[in-house]
Amino acid sequence: MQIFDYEFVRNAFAAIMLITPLFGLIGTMIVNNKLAFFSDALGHSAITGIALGVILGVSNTTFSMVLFGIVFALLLNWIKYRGKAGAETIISVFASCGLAIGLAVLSSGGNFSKYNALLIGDILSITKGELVGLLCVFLVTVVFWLCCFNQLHFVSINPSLAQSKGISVRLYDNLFVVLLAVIVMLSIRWVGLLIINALLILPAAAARNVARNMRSYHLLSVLFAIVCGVGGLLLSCRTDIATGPMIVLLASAVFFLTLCKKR
Amino acid sequence: MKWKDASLWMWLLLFLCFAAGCLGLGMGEENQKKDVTEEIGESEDSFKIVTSFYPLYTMVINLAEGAKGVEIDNMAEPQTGCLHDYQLRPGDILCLEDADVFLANGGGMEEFLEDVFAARPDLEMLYALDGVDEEMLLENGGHDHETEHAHEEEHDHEEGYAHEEEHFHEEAFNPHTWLHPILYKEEIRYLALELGRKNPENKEVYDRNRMRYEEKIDALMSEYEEIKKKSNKKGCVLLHESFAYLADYCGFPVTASMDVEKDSGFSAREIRDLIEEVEERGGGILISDSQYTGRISGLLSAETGMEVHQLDACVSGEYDKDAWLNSMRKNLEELKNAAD
Repeated sequence: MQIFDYEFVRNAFAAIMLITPLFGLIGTMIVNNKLAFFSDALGHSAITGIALGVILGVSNTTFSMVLFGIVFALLLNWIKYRGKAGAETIISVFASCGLAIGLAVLSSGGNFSKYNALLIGDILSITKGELVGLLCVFLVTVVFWLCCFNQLHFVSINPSLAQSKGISVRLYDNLFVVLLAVIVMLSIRWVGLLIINALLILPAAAARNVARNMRSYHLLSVLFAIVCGVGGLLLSCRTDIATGPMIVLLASAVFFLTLCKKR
Repeated sequence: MKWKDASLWMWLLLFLCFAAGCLGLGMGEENQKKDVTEEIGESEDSFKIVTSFYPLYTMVINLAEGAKGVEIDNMAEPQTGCLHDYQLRPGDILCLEDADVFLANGGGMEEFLEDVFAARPDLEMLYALDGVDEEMLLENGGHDHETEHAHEEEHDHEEGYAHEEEHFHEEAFNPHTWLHPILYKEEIRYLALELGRKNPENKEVYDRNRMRYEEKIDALMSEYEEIKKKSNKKGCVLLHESFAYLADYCGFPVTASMDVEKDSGFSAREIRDLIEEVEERGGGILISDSQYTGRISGLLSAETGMEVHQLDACVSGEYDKDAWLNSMRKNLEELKNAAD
């Protein structure tokens, strides 16, 4: 039987074709704006969102996770603007505190193993209904990127100049982090809390090593993300390594290769 | 300190307060344990029974109802489920500090027992599995111990109970015996007897309660008769080994038993192998555990076209005297659907 005869492989392939271009696209802005630590904190906060859902008795913890992620992202952004120095320290305090709360609540019954799948992701069990959710996020992101990329890029290069030209720096920054929060929270179950940031950063970082302009930067980032995603899935079919870590291993290899090319 | 900085730290403090509040709320909503026993004066000694997890706690609150001066505590939270991956917490050791007897399931269910022995070497242990006729036990993987090991050494039994503790506490046997009503009754009988020995003041209470509880179990077992008599039942693939006992009791042929639901991080190859194994050995129904997400069972069902039936392993829920009976009635309804 061919591997694509299995529905779970086809579903996982579709999920990868939706998630990886998103990560490749949004990763370019994260790398440009030096938000790697920010997105890492956001990923860790997912566990707090789930814990919050468990406490409040919400049956679908994805909702509490997305809501918490948006609030957390806006709060972190607010801190970034308020604190002139030491913002990274405060982000770290928030992230560690959030992670500790999540772990404390979820492990309170002594059986954290129920949530193991959240740590390493479980893209192979994605269902068609969940793919529709990812497709919606994909479409929203593409539309947002087409409409707002110039402003986001302007803000990223020179916020003061952008402000003087009438672009609301805070608004675009907040919109971007909200979008980032939604993408991270909706894909964390499939990619895994421990490696989601690697998948956000690595394709963009690799593309930055070899790209000559903004267009090729975006194109290469999306391309690297898709190739590593599909490659990781196919290799996972041939080996006993879980799909998420396999994708990240490939993305890391691509990054180191491009690093050699850069030098 | 500038006003802006002060405001920033105030927000941080608020966030921490909110977080602590959430944590408190989460911990505070702990499922309330049932106070079924009668209190005694402070001067008198109480008898404290600590159970390792939910099914044993349910047994004991039924046996000790109305017992004078008996304190019952449960170690794992009622939402913990099976104890295979349980991590012992400092509070658990504290809970054992003044315990007179610690009731464990045995059979490798409580992997943390070494830590318990280290903390309380003098603690009296009681294993529910010791109350079960060894020949009724299934091996891990769903095979009948009697048929598989008929050639092996004969085991001594005293009053119908096996007392070879070391043998019983190995992991060779499937320890989920509470899902077999007959074995459940045997355990209840054994525990009532042992508790009566250790706490003679309440021996009559334990006996009376045992008989009352056995009547309820008998009533439940008579409800199961219809499904037991049904012939040509579909073969079932168990996705959690605990249901081997229930399948055995109801007469569902077990074609495969694969303990996969609690695991995560499968590679695509492993899942493909699982599907092929289910298709090869299966043909019938998939029995899944309702305490897990059902993702693997859903995936296997979608790939193989086999129906999934989710059963309750009676390891989590409310602290309620009739919890086991209610869960088993729910299972009966699901099994009736499966047999149709």
